[in-house]
Amino acid sequence: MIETMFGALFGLVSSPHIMGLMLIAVIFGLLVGVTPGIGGKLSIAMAIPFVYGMDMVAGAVFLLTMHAVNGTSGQISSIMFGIPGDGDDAATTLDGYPLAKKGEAARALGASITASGVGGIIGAVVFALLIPFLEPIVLQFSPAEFFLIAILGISFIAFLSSGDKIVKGLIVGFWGLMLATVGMDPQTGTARYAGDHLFLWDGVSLVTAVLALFAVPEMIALGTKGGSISSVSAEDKNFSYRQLLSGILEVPRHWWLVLRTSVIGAVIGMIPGLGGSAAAWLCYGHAVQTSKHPERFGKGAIEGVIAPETASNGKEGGSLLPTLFFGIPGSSGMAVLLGAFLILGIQPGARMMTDHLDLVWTLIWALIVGNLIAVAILLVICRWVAVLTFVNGRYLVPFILLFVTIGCFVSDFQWQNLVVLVLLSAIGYGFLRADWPRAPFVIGLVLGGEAEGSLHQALQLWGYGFFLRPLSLVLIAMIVSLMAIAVWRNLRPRRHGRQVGFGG
Amino acid sequence: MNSFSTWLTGLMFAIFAVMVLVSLQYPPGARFMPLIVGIPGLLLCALQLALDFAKARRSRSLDRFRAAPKAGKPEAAAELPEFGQHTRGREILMWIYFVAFVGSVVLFGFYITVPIGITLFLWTQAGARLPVAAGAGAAATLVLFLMFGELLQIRLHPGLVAPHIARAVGL
Repeated sequence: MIETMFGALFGLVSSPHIMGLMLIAVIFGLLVGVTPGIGGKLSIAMAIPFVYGMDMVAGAVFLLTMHAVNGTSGQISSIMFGIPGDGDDAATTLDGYPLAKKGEAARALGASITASGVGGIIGAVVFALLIPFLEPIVLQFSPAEFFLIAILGISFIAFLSSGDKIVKGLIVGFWGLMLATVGMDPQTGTARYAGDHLFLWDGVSLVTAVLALFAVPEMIALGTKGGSISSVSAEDKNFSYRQLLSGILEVPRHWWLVLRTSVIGAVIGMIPGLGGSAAAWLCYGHAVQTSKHPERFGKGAIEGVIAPETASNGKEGGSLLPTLFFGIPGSSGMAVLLGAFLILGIQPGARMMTDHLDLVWTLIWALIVGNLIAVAILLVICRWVAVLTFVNGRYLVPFILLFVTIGCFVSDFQWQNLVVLVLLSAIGYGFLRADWPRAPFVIGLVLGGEAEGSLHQALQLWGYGFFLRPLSLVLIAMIVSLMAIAVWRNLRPRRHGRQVGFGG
Repeated sequence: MNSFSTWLTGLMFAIFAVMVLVSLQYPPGARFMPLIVGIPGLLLCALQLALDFAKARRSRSLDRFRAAPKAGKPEAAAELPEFGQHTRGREILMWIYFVAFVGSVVLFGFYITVPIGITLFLWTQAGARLPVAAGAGAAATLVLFLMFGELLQIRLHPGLVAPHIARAVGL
């Protein structure tokens, strides 16, 4: 284990090719993190065409690094202008913006960027520490459990990511599973739903589906809404590098808080569906509760900047765990990343533990090294990166569309995929407009083939009795319970005033 | 009731129904998975439709008892939702642009569509000046060619029609 661990680190840092790719990924990830309208999911979806032809390790490291550092730059607009780029950064705004108004923007940025980087590193360490404990559990799973885990994964993501919209999430997930059946049946060789269209015999292109469900709807929404994140003027916030340094030093000064919130973030990341927003708000609340002077929060307390940032980046390490070992993405961003991993030939599951442990360690080190590079770069350029929040989203639309169409074509070199892209995008946009969760679709599509294979294997091994295996019964009970809670949540009468959010 | 969501559920029901019906003509081994996924999918859609109708009935009956705004107290200005009637025109325009761009790539290929598509959008929709928009379009095409044509040696789709036109005019 130790040999594999350090071998992976040596392989990573001694390869100029991979380190160069990581540097590009960090810069690209930081820039898209601060640019309006381009979230982590969209940036990964757009980067997929560029990892074609790369070997498994280089491609996975490139995409994971980009995803991991995406959120690190997101807090800049929260602190400088009081406008969070996404939900993860909203908690940072509460104390970050008051600090900026007091003329301490550089201090807040120094603390938040460093906290974010340290959180990401601790999250990766938590994941690494859990591997020896996880190995015997993962290896207990048989094909029967993997089939049920695919169903549970969809139910869980749908349930946790959208509360009372679990039925809609399940419909989307089952549709993903259904689309996974398109193409040649592995048992009988029948071309299902493909007819004479040869391009469908290998199934629906995963890249096309991911782009259609995530990238195109976001692009159309961006073009519809237009505008930039920040419309306020970039007034001078007394930025100084001395202040930035004092902000950096706040992180070791609050090391106990940093450690606690990073671990909480990593644990939340392991629970599929609980995203960065939950981690950030929970840890903000934790910082308030454990502070000797809670009255300072909301008025510019530096702990109010540190806690949510460590948590929201710490969750990335945690969410990698269910993604790699169970094929259940910890977040919607991880769902897209999971799709990209499959394209690179990485098959999540128990075999990651036995056959590809070196790759797992490489990814853990990539999280750590990527965060270190991101912090170093961002501390130098954060002052100027903030300008990107003024970019009008409409300027980006044709370039996003260009990336999307190229990615779609290059995935199989079939022009017919472009037609599929339009058809699936219509449904994807419908999901976005009706506020249906979309992540379960990717899980369904990604796990569909694996689930079908596992189901056939389980039936051959135990017949229909596989449903009665003890672990299967536990998983079935969990699925049924989630369904029951979903129905109850939908049917119970609502009390007024219950919708008040955490942020007030 | 969010009628758009209900329509979407209806559409998903139809998709599942068609896929389940089509799967019935496959051999037993091949139709097993579509049925095991499709039938629960259909049931979930039916459940969601029932939930939507129940919710609609409940909110209709609640509306009847909802108090009228208090006299003399001005109603707070309603904030416009993210999407709605006020964004419909732009949404349709974005869809036309998207479908036209993809259609153009299919017919005329990337190297013809990209400069024209980017220039037109930036000029007409993003409010960029024509020389700037045309410059951005040309630059994007150049980067596309250098990256995919030269560096990665990837032959991008030439279009279904463009090669025939090029041959007809002797290019």
